[in-house]
Amino acid sequence: MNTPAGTLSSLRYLDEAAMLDSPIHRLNPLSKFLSTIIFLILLVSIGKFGLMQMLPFAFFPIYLVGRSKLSPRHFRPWLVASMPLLLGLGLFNPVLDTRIFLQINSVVITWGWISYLTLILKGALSLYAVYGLVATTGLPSVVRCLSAIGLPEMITLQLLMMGRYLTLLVEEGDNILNAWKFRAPDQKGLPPHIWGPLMGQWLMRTLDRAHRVYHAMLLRGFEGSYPMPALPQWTSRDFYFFVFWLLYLSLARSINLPVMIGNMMMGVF
Amino acid sequence: MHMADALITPAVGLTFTAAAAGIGAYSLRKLRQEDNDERIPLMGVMGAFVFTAQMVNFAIPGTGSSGHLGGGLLLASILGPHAAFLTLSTVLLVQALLFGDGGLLAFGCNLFNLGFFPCYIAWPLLFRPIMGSGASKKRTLIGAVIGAVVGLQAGAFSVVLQTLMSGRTELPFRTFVSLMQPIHLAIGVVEGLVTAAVVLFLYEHRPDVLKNIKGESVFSKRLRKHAVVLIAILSLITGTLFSSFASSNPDGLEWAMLHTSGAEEMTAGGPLHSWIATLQNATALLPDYSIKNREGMASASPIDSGTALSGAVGGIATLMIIALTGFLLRRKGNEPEHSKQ
Repeated sequence: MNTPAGTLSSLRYLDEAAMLDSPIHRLNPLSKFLSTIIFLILLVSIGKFGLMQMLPFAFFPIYLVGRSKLSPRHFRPWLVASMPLLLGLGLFNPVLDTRIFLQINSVVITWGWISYLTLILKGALSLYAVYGLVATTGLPSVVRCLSAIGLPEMITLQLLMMGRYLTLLVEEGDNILNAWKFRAPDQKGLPPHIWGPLMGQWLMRTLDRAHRVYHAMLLRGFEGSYPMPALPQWTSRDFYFFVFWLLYLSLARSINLPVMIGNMMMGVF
Repeated sequence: MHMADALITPAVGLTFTAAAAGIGAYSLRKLRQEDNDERIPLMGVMGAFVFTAQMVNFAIPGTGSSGHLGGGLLLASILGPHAAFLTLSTVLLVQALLFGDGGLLAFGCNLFNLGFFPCYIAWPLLFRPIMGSGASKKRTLIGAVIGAVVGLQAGAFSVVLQTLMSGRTELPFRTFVSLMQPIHLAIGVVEGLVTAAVVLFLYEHRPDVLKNIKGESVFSKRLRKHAVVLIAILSLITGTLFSSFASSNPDGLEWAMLHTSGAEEMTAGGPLHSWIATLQNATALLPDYSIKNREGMASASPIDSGTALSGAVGGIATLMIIALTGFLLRRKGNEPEHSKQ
């Protein structure tokens, strides 16, 4: 998990990135959302050794992020959060699967390394696509898409509320922890005797805040539901975007494009 | 531990998403029956609190290391299991969407592992009964630690099963279990101690907040009545699953085919089959690869080196095209002001 400061920085960046203007930002959120879901399903369905077949899938997230002119620099914390697990669990693949895939002179590539690289690339591409979606669409619009595909209103409402109060509570948590750190330097973590008082008081403040929020909502006419703005109409551009990626990704999933290109380059055809 | 999309297959991801959706629908129905609108902002704000509290390091006495709070048991104590489960679903969705922590397709797996076990097993069956109606320090501590340890052990074991069912890693079952369970034992003890400390503090200063500890039964009478049948069905499914992992004998379908056709695998003929086979061989980098082919193939490659080389050349060509596309798309920056600082 990130530090509070890193989390705040990521949240602010994603907020601001979603407000920029680019051809990708102007697309209907649902078109991007559905394309990303199709991308994820087809990508994840690629087998354990499908390293080559997966390469053409990289075009989708690269197009999303590249065409919106966003920097991949802010994608780094995402990799840091997820990659250790994949790197750790996948490490057993080259150790246990030593069958030879390709041998050129003394250089040997085993099936274990192929499946390890497949796992890592798959993880990175799936993350990059979700990053591209959220950075160009914003959390409220993604939540609206989730609502459009049937996520219950109580959960979408909570997601919106959480998105709104996350920055505030992370800042409050950061202040509380910094105040403690200044009084107790060089400590590795909260000592047991303050677990209850520190976390308990923080929690009580949170509950009071929730109470105030609820009363403010009541004053503004809240009756248990929250009117969500409608998604914009699909234009021909949204339709072409969705259909293009649906066809391209289906093609990339059913035909091993790199091998085909390789065959052509080697003069097989 | 959050499952990533890369570790699962669509079948495993969608199955657990369906399971989590079923539990979510049950939670929603129970919450609607309570008709308490105040819980909605409370759940949203508590979700943000748990999210933030997960960043706090708790020093583990006598070890020199530190642990984190998961928050499932604490949420269930304050909000009740149904609201806690739904709150955890939003926490996990926000983590997946805003921080890449856990995948979107793996969302169902993560919600099942981190939400179902603490909210519907650890809290109602262990923590609440052990703690009882009083606020005895000893009982709270024992209940919270046992609840957290059992919840996390079950969640960790579920991660192992989901990973093995997906078959994306070579990790043997025994190795994976022996890695996962002890780590989560230590994490569970920390989670239980922190939860107990916070619950005891709240009991002393704001007992009204913990009214759910004395709340009604989590499971309906009808569900309790059918619990034995449910457990029997689950045991049957689990048993079938394990036997297919463990047995070296043919599985049910292979056994049936062996006895009907005399061969474990069907062979097919005809022009359509041969056309599809040609197309498959032309496009597949790993033709005819299957788990069965692995035995006795320690040194032999299932594909000829010419095809592998074609794949490598094609792969490099594809990578170059990808790099060029990325470069062309990124010639002009479009950075938010915040990131330029």
